[in-house]
Amino acid sequence: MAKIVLQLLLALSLFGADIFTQKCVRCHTRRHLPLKPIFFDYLLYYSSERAVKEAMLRNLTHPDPKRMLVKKRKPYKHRFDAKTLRKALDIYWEKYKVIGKIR
Amino acid sequence: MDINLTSERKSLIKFLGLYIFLTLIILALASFMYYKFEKDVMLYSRLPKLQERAKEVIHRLKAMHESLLEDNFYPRYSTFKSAIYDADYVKIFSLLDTDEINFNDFLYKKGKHIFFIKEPELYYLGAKYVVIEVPDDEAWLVRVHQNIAIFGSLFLIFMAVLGYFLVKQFLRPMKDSFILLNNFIKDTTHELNTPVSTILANIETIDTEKLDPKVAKKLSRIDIAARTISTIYKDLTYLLMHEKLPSHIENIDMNELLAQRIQYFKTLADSKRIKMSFSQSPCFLKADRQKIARLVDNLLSNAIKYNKVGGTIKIKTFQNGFYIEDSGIGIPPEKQKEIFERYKRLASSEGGFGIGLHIVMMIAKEFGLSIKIDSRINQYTRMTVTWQK
Repeated sequence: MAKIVLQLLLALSLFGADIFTQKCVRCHTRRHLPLKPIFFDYLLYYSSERAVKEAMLRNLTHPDPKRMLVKKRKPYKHRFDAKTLRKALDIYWEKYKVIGKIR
Repeated sequence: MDINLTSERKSLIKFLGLYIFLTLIILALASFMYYKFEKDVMLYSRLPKLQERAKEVIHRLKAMHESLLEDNFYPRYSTFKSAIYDADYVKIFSLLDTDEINFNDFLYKKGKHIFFIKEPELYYLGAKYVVIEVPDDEAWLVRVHQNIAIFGSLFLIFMAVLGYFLVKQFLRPMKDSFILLNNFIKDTTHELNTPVSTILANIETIDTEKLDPKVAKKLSRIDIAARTISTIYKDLTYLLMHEKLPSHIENIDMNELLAQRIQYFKTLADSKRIKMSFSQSPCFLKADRQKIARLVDNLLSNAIKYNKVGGTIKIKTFQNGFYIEDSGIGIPPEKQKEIFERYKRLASSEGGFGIGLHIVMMIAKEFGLSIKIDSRINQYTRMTVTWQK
């Protein structure tokens, strides 16, 4: 009974959430692949917002083991369309971006 | 002598002006290059220290990055300031006073600050460019300015002296030619004087009344020609020697002088059937008699030369002035200002070198005389000479 209630509460909390929270966070949490370190890895190699988003989009739509920043991770092809992915990446950037957070 | 020396001086000044101008351009270029060189030397002397500072900042950025920005305190130093920019030149964080960074140059000076841009191997926190800013006390710049002022002035003086001697060397052949020509003119005119004076003196002794009219007419022509040569001789002598001719100031009775000069030109006027009238009032001028005679001779000579056959010449004296009016071709208003210039002639059909009125102006200037021209084309020209009491 308690399990059902918990699942119901989780479903209710996700109902009003954005695409990034609904899809990306949920999936990455389940796979134990935290999103913040991935973001900082991209930042380390691509620097700017434009370059980071381009690289993320390319790797998500056409994953290539040769281009993987962290070799131990398995390439995973996302099934979202490009528009949805871009939307999710914008939210991802805004969530972890460095600008405005340094003091 | 005056003509040649003046032109030589003008050439000398023009050449020196151009020479100094070019020297200044060379000096400006050399100064600029020296400044650039000294600036680069200064910047590169600071480079090791700047690289060390950039390394410190990058080291700190690495730590912040590895903490996934849990540690978000940007490093601050008392000796320098820094900033970080991403690959698209977007500012990530900055402690600098300015946001205008020149990313095309990794080491440069702007205002009173030196900027150094370092690209880390990995972009910690997304920073592709780490900018280091240090103040510049500009002590090197003061030294550069002093050196440019001192050595620049010495170089300029040296080049000016060298240029002067070079010009002297270049102009020497021209000057020698001028002196040779000048001496030739002097000698020639001097040699002309004796025969012309002899001709005139002998003509005066001949009693024309007793001569055959045809012979008398021929003699009159010889007289006119000799007087013309004599006038040219006197003009040339004045032009060549006027600086060396001392002025003997005396109170000249202008009526007496004008009457004498009218008499002198009578034969010439008669040859063109020109009637000369002389109206007298008391008139005196304190000046050199010989020079004023030159002035009057040139005015009378022009009045005859540019008059029509059978014309008139009116000469009138008044208090502090006189005028000579002819009934000749007149002088157009646009030419009235330039006829006093050397070698300017009103009509090339008439003889002469165009030096007569120039001499008139020179003498007038020497004695403070004013000359006024009133003229109407093909009617008359009145030259009025006045002076202060």
